[in-house]
Amino acid sequence: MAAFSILDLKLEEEEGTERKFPMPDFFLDLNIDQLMKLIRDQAPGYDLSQMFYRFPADKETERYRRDIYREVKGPRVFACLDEFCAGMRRFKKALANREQVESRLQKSAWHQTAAMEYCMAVDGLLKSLGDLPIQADGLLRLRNYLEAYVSGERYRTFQVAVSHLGQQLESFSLVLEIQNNRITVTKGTVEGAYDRFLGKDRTGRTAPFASAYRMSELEEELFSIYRKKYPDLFQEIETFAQQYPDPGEETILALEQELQYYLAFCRFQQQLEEWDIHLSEPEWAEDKEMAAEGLYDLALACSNHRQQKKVVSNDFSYKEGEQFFVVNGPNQGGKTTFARSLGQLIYFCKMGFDVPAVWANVHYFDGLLTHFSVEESMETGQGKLMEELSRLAPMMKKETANAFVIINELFTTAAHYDGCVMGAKVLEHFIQNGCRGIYVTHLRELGDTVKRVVTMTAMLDGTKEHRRTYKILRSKAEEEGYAGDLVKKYELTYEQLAGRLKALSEVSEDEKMAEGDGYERTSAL
Amino acid sequence: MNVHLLYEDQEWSSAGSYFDSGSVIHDLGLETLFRASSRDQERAEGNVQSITAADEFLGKTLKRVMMKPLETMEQIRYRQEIMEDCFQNEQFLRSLYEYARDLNIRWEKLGKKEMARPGARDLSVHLVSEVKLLHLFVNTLSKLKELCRQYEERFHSRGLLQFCACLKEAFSDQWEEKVKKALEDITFFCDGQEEYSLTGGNGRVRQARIVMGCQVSPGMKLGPMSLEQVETLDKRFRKLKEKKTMVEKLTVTFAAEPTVIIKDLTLLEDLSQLEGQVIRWILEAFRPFMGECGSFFEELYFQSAFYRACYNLYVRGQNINLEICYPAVCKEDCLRFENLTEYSMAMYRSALPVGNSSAIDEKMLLIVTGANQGGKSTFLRSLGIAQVMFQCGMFVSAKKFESGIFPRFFTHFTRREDSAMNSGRLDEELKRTDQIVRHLGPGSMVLLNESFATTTEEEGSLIAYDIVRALVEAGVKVLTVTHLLSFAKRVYGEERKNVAFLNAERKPDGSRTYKMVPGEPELTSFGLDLYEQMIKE
Repeated sequence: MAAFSILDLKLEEEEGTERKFPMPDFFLDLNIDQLMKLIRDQAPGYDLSQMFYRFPADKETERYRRDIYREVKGPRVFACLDEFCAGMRRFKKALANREQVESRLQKSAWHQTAAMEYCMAVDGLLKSLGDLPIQADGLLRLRNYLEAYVSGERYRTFQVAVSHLGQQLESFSLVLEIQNNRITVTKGTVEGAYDRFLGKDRTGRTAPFASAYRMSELEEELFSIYRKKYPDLFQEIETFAQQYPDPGEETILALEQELQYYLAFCRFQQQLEEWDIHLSEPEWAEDKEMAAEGLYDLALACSNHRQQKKVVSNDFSYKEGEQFFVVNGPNQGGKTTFARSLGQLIYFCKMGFDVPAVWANVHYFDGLLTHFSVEESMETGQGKLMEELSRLAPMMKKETANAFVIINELFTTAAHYDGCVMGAKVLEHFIQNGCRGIYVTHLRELGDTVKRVVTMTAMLDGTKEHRRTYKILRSKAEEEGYAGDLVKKYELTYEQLAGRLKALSEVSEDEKMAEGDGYERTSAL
Repeated sequence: MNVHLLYEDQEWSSAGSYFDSGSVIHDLGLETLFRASSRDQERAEGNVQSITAADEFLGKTLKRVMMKPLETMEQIRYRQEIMEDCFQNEQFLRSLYEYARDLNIRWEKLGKKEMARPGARDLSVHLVSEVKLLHLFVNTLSKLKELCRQYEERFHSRGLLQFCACLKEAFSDQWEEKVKKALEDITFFCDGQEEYSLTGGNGRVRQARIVMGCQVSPGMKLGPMSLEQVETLDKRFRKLKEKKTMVEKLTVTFAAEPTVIIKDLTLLEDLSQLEGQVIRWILEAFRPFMGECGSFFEELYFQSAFYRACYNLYVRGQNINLEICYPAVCKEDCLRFENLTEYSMAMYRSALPVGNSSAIDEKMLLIVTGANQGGKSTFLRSLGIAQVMFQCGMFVSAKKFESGIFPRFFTHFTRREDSAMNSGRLDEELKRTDQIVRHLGPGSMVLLNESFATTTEEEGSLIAYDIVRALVEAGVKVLTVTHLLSFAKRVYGEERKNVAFLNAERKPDGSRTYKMVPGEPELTSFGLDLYEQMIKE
């Protein structure tokens, strides 16, 4: 039986050598660590980091994942994979319970429960996958693998034993009669006369003992007394546990873990939809220019959501022959955010997920390199320039033939002229290596000297308050004078006011009430 | 179970309160009313007597209800009817509120907050509280039903009749009996008394008898149970024997069915856990009912508090012979009143204020001018208070009051501290105006009191003229008191049809009557009077 992975097309040959991947440097620079936290919250109990820390091995694997994710987003595929994982969690929970309890009978009983959950999860997944019109290579491979596994002799006998025992347990019932410190146990059922008096049906009925998985002493006592008279079923449970000590198949166990890669992100995306933040599936056409519309910083959008603020989005395109953006503009003008959003675009695209833009066409890159200025490093005691160069050097030495490079404020402490010269050298290096990227800088002249570079600027609005628009455009902003008195400021001149009120009176009554902002909203009582 | 004493078809929700109700309260001086309504009043000759400590819930409730306008005369009439019924059956109102209040206080004591916490239901200490709460709900409902039975025939209002009918239907005698039986069955666990002991005082012991069916759930746990029998056996207390008799031993050994004797502490604990689960299961059946009762009584507490608070205000008004009436609606551009007084001031001074009468028909703008200290602001406030009281279904202090309904009601009063001439102040005033404009819509009324006086007369007049003109043209009803002579004169000169002018009356000798009379705006300040007096001499 061939092992199989839903994440990787080509399985690594040297198995057993488990490599731990460190968090990539760009995670912090691009605030992907913040997003990672939100994604992780969608899959509690699973370790997602390793899967998110490394890029797919090659272009084909990226496509493999993207094809899978496209179908996972569909509600039916999502539901069936999610249900499988939930079943596997119940399976693992039952196994954990088995380890927690002492009595042989209860250990065996938990073992039986685990086995049943496992079979239900596997059978259920195969059945619902069979009913779905799946097309993605990865999902088809999954279905083939499952078919082979389920029709194997070993699984079949196991499955029969599980369901036989399950049926017996299901129909088992007894009657307790409690009075005067004495409990009598009888085989059989009751009519539920008092339940009828209470007006209750059989739904949502509870157990007589609250504790979750361990038998209370009273239960043990009840069962052991009962067993003396009716031993058969109890014996069978214990025998089953001996016969099938190890129900889980390794590939299936790994599958549950790997599916979380898609499910967690998909759930995250659903969460974003609720917050009115939308992702879209990127295009992947190498023959068209790389561009995006409505691109935004997803991490910022998420943290802004908590403060009920919207983010500003930007458009960009690398025209024929253009390799680098050099972005100027005022502080706090949205330059870094723009750079981050580009980085996130590349990252999520490479991982096979949807991206934070209205529309995007992204080319294939081998890697993603970032260099963001950090606070002067206390530990090393190096000067800032030293520190920057020491981080830059390895980046430039790497095989960076087809990487996407994001540089944010290099050489801020160097003299202006030096900064320009060094900056230009860095740019030239990457451009000659065939890299694409973005270079955020306060040095206005930087873009002028290097070829294949486009200069962009973070724009201000026209007012004298220099309000930031956070828009990054290819042109430069012009300032405009602003004159007006207080009345104008509050839009209360006759003309302004008449205009405002005209607009208001046109709003229909219903809309007005629905809008209702500013009205006091407190909970009743 | 619905209370529906504030609305015919819904319970209270505070959505839709006036924009910036804080300013409305402050500008109209409504806190005085809220305070006065918190104290129980007795009708007394001459002096007003407070017979109890303040019940702050009354004032708070009145505040919240008053700050949310009704939108149709139908809704207003609904509350007016109930109020009339309540005032005529004072004892009913007192009991109604008392029951609701008493229940809510006991509920708090039983640990309302703690019970609401997630997971609290699993704690057995809260289980006891819940059983007691169920007792409390049932007993109070019984009392309420009795109260309604007593008064029902005297009611005329749709609201109270509907309330009585709904109570009888939702809490039927049959249901009442069923809940009481269930509570009886579980007295082994807890009875309705505040304090209780297992053995009781008179040598009796309470014992449970439970028969149930059980399946098994995963992990060989006893699974879903179904109850066959639950009851409390009330037996004469008898000392538990320490040793089993031979006969008992034999019954166990040779019993037809396996039997467990609870003989040690662990098993006893498990057994009481099992009993707890049974109680929980039974309570579960009454949880929807309890949830309904909970919100019913919270609503009842709140809604009856509104009428109770109004009653306090009413009695207090009666004690100073304040004339009151239930207002009627008329067209938006009309405003008619007779002997209208300022309620808040009356409460504050415990004295009868000067009343004003006027009938202003087909006017959307009212400009009040006149001498300082002439009662202009008081007059504007009296209009504002009456409007707010009218719109929440209350009576008003007038012989007659008719007005339109303005669910969007705004006040823009110059704050005393703002009077310094300073652009920062004007900025603040305009900012408030801007806020009001943002929230205008159909059915808007704006009260302007000495607005835009924080700049020069000339500038202020221009601003006021522009703003008032735009507002009125957009269909907003504006009542303004102003010092800005150029503004008032300019409007007067235009002879617009929909503008009314009132002046604070001043006798030829300069004395003030605090009455408003129609007439051309004329601004004569106290200072000028004085000046003329001095020059003539």
